[in-house]
Amino acid sequence: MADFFHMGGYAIYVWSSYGLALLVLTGLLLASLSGLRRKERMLASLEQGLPRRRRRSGAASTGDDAGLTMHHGKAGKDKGADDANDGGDGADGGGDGGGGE
Amino acid sequence: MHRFANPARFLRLAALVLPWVSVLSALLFAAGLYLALFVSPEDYQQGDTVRIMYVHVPAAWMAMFTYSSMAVAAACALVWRHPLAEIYSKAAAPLGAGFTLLCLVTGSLWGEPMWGTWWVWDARLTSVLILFFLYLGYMALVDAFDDPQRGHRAGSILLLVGAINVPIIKFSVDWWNTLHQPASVLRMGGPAIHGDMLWPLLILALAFKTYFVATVILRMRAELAERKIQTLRLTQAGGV
Amino acid sequence: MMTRKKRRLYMLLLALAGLGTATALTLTAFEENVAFFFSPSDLTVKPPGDKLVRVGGLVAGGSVTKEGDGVTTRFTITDTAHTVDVTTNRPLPDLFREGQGVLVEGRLRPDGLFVASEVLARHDENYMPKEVADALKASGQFRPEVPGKPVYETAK
Repeated sequence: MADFFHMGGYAIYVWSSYGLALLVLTGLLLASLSGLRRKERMLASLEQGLPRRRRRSGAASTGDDAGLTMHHGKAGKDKGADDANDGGDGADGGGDGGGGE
Repeated sequence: MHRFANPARFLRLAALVLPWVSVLSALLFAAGLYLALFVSPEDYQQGDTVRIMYVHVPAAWMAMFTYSSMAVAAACALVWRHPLAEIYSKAAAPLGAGFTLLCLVTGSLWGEPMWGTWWVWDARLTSVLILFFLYLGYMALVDAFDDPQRGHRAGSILLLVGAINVPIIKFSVDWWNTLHQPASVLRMGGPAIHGDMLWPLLILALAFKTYFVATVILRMRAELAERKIQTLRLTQAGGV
Repeated sequence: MMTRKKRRLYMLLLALAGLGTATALTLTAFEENVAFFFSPSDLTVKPPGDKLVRVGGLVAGGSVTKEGDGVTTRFTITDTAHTVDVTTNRPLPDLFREGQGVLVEGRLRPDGLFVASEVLARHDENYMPKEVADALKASGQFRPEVPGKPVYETAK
């Protein structure tokens, strides 16, 4: 085991390489994850604001899933209604998948 | 609003792919690291320092792959105005820069004990350093404009101009005398690496690739969310 | 609509072709400067005079000797066509050994001895376990690869 950590006398070079790889890869992954979370939260709170002002009663009933509500509200006006709807669902499902990592 | 159609399909596909590619990446990293650190033999000349290769070479490949894919995306963005292309490049750039930095520093950590120097200005090392600066330059340029569309346009042009550096990196070791040795894996006459060392290398290369796919999906989703935020802010400010 | 996309595509391809040609021409013109080191053959074709140069080749078998002062090392670099005798008082990298690719930086004295102010090892593209290398050596199939190639055309 000591041999393993010793790396034939090149321990500093070998282990700093692997350590740095760990640092860079996990650093980028965590930064990407937290960036995504932050933007999804920001988006959700923005979308919460819009429909409430427009149709107070409708938004209140689905208040805890405001993100989806917005997608539906938006999609209603759009030509590609189905695609936009699915996009919203897909994003939320994917968010769960990422959290499971 | 037809521009939303493609991103929506992308998000659906991404949600499908992400869990699989994440699990696959974790498995590949576990298997690759085990083989690289415990199973693979010492090199007849370089001893245990050869294990730096299992990090250095995948990082180098990913640095080149990421840039090439960004350049292709830039061409798609400029010619066909594909809405996802710019989002991809912007999302991939920090990852590419990370791979390049990793490649440079692990190369240094390998060069010092084996070559006897941390750094030389030979064609290979210099062209990879230029690649690193291209990544940084692209990221700075995209953010430098008030109008994001113009920033992306300028960034795409920089990516395409810089693409000339990719073949230079790849063939620098064949075209000119360099301290860096010629290619060992992708070369005429097949790999010059013994199988016991080639397998961990290939597995870790795949691990890096799947890591990249998973992370770039996360970053693209963040970028798409950011765009929606901008649109919503505009409509809100417009007093809808 | 289609034609505008096509025009953009052609313009892009044209611009890239121009850029590629310009880069290729520049790099070919400065090949001598891009080369990180010269071969022993290059020194005979184009003597460097008093300039600081790097020379690369294999350490000739049986040529390495330590001087009495314990610091100075003498050895011969060969590219199998020509050789250069080198002396240095610098520390040698771990990979330095006979039959190994090396680069030396320094000046060629008028008497033909190269005084190296730096010695770097260069390894080739072959990676293998020790047993495999030993087997290759035993069967006589082991060939160390000469680093790089001559930069200048040798007169034939």
